Amino acid sequence: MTSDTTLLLQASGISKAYPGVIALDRVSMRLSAGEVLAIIGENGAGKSTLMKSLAGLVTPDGGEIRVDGEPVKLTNVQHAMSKGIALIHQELNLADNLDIAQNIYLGREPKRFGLIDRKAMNRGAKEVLDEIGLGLPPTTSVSELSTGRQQMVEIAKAISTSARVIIMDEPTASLSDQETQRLYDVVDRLADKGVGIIFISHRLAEVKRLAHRVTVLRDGKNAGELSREQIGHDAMVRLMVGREASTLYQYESRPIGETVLEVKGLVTQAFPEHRLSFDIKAGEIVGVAGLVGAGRTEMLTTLFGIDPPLAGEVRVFGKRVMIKTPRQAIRAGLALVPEDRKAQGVVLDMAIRENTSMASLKERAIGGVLINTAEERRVGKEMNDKLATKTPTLEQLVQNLSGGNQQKVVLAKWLATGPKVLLMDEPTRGVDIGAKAEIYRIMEELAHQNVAVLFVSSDLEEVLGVSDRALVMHEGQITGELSRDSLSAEAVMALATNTQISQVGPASSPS
Amino acid sequence: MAMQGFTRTLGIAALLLIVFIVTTIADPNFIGSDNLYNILRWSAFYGVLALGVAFVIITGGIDLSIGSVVALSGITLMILLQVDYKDSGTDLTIAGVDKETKTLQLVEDMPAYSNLDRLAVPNPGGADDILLTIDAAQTEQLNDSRSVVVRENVSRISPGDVGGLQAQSRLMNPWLAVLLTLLLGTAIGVFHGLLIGYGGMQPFIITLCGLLAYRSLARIISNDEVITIGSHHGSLRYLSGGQPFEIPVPFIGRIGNASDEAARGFLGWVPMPMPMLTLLILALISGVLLHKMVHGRYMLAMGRNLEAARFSGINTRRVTLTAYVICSTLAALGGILFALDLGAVTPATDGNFYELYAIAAAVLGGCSLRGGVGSIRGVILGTIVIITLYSMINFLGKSSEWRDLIIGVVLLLGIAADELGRKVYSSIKTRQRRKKLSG
Repeated sequence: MTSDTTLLLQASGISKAYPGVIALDRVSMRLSAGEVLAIIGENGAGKSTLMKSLAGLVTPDGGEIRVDGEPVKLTNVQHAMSKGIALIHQELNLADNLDIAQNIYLGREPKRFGLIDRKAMNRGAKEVLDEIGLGLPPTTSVSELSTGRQQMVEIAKAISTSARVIIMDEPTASLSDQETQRLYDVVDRLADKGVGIIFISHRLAEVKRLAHRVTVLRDGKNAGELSREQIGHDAMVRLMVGREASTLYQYESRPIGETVLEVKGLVTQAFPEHRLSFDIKAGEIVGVAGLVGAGRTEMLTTLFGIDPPLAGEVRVFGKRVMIKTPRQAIRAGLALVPEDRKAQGVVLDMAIRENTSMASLKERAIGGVLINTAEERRVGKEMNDKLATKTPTLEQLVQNLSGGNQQKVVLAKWLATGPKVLLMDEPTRGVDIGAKAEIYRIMEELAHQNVAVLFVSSDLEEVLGVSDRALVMHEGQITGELSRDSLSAEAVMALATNTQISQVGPASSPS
Repeated sequence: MAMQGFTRTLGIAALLLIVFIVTTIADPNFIGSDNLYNILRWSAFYGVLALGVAFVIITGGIDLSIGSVVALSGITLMILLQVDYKDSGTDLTIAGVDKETKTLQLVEDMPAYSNLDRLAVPNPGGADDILLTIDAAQTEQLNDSRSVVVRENVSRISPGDVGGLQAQSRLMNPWLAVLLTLLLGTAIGVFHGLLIGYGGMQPFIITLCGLLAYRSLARIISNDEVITIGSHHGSLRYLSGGQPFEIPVPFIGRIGNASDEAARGFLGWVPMPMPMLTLLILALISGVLLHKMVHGRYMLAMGRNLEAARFSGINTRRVTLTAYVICSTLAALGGILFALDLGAVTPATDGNFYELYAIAAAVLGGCSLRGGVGSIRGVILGTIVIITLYSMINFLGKSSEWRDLIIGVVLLLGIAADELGRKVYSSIKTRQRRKKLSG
């Protein structure tokens, strides 16, 4: 145990509840000066809520936070910053229309005679940029920077507030290899200077490379802690899932039938220079791997008619279908479980019943116009029983359900349409372990019923554990296809970064 | 949500009751048959507008052009209903004049004519002819082929004068005019819906442009002059002034100081205003549309989460279009009712701010400007509350400049109470959760 005197930050017994879910249940953590602490855990384990509590974004329902041994009640971000704690969000919070220096000093601009002192601002910005090795003029507009460099600006901003604790939420999620390396260097350098760093990551290799210590959360509780010597892939996975990783994925091969979905030369609006071609057979579960921004989501939304395709041919059971709108996609037998569940999957303040009937309401309506209430109830009950959605009643608002149960409602909505092809975008993001296993079971069951399942996932283990076959995408292109036998993390990563074809260049600026 | 909507309706009903009790204590005539009739009638005029804008608000939009659509459709109707006269070529020589009964005896038999045809008699003292409008009903009662009853004063007419018979000529059938005016509203709605739903433009801006443009159009096509239909089109005016039947209301005769003894019984009778009957029918249809039909569910869903609705295969553009079509068509209907009520439209001022009254009524009735929330009965009640407050202000002897202040304050209090209720509700929920957590 580190002695209390060197503890920069200490949290004990932190609890936080949201409607329908307990995000944090008496969680504790500590951080010393110069230490790099990784917080890991499955999606929905409470990592982000804990970070937000430490940064003053979320007020915990219970527990105590100490800074330098002094108990504090962090009421807002400014307050946390004044205590030396800075949070760098997963989604960056920079103002696109301003330059680097303006962003670094946003809200606390140096003043001279009541006016903004641009010179002092640029000077100060230059200093912190040099400190982290980002040799850019402070007057560069942020909109011209790649995601990686924007991240660096966020870090520079944190340092310039003389933050002693920097919290980073999945800092490398959208960075290129080069940028990731540079970030690692900066983290090392900051730690050497005595800054405490907390970072959340799903990349275990990254945790191994950076962390001095690992705190593991599971289902909103402390699941364990690993010291530098103990940090290893298996140990981390065991603590995260609470059992051996293999039990979550129980792959069994299924009989493969005729071709259900055939895609030839599909051109998306996002990557008009590439053509996508693949097919899925009945009973097959095909995973789509790739880095963030590889065009996987765009492929699904294009297939589903959200963003109509520029060209290409789609066949379902050999029959050519024209899909320019989601309605046409549904008629053709397609269903899409979208990436952003709360924004695109469910209507949070509507009942489970209403959400479940959403996509098939017209087909089941009396005369195509009048809602068939009895039928709506029956289907709502049937589908949610089938998926074991945990709720006292179908009239429950979807916002009161946990992430996993919300996802089941999305699935119930699509099952009610009797799909032939199920497209899923990050189907288990923000879903707890139990629900995760259930969603895999549902996918397998649908495959057994000859539904073609195509799912996009950034969780490599999930792709490896569930797919019969995997497509790997890189910058809008399908760079490879891996059968179950040739499916491995190394093979996927090689295709995802396209290392055979060309060395990784500087990342393109974010869209 | 359903629960919240219901408490909301209860709240408005309670507010209405309080207003009624307070004002009746101050002046019992407030619940006299006449005033109740007026409240119902005026509520109907504004209720038609509020009902329309409710659909737009529920789908997450806004329509600021309603007042101008009222003016434009009103003036259009007045123009289409204009009555013109043509010389029929028949001259009638007057044999005698009865000033009391406004009856003219003729030398010849009266040729075929229709009601409101007129006689143009040369005026010795001026350039313009004296125009005498024939009252067909009165004339028929005389049952004399050589007599004709007119509406105007006949004191300047003397036997021997010769009047030219002028036949009334209408641009079109008055019901066709009403239909065309409604279609004008529909066309405006389609225009808004295409720009907003399909073009992705902001409803506030689009309808603000409409607010300015349609008002101007109304003034241009009328040369910025008041257009009236005088005493014509009696049957059409039944739409705004008709009383199809009476509804019994207990006690009002006794409290309300009814003038005649018969009205002092247990039941008082209030005539049902035709526009209110129309509104109730429209409300019924709207209720079915919003709560029982697929299309209504789509409206509620996309008002709450446009993206999720789109991802569920709902044609959100088309749903948006229909909301604006309903809104502008009902605004045109409102314009027709207001125009027929007065029989005249002043293009520069009629309908001014009506969009804001409609929005206020819808919001008071529980529609959220964030979209996805609202009930038809709430909107109707909300309108009645606003009209009742107006009436109250009159009865309490306050002048009309007080009116909007009081409406504004009531609306503010209503919304604040709603927000407060929600906060209290959610803090109780949080406390329960915390208890569960620590327990």
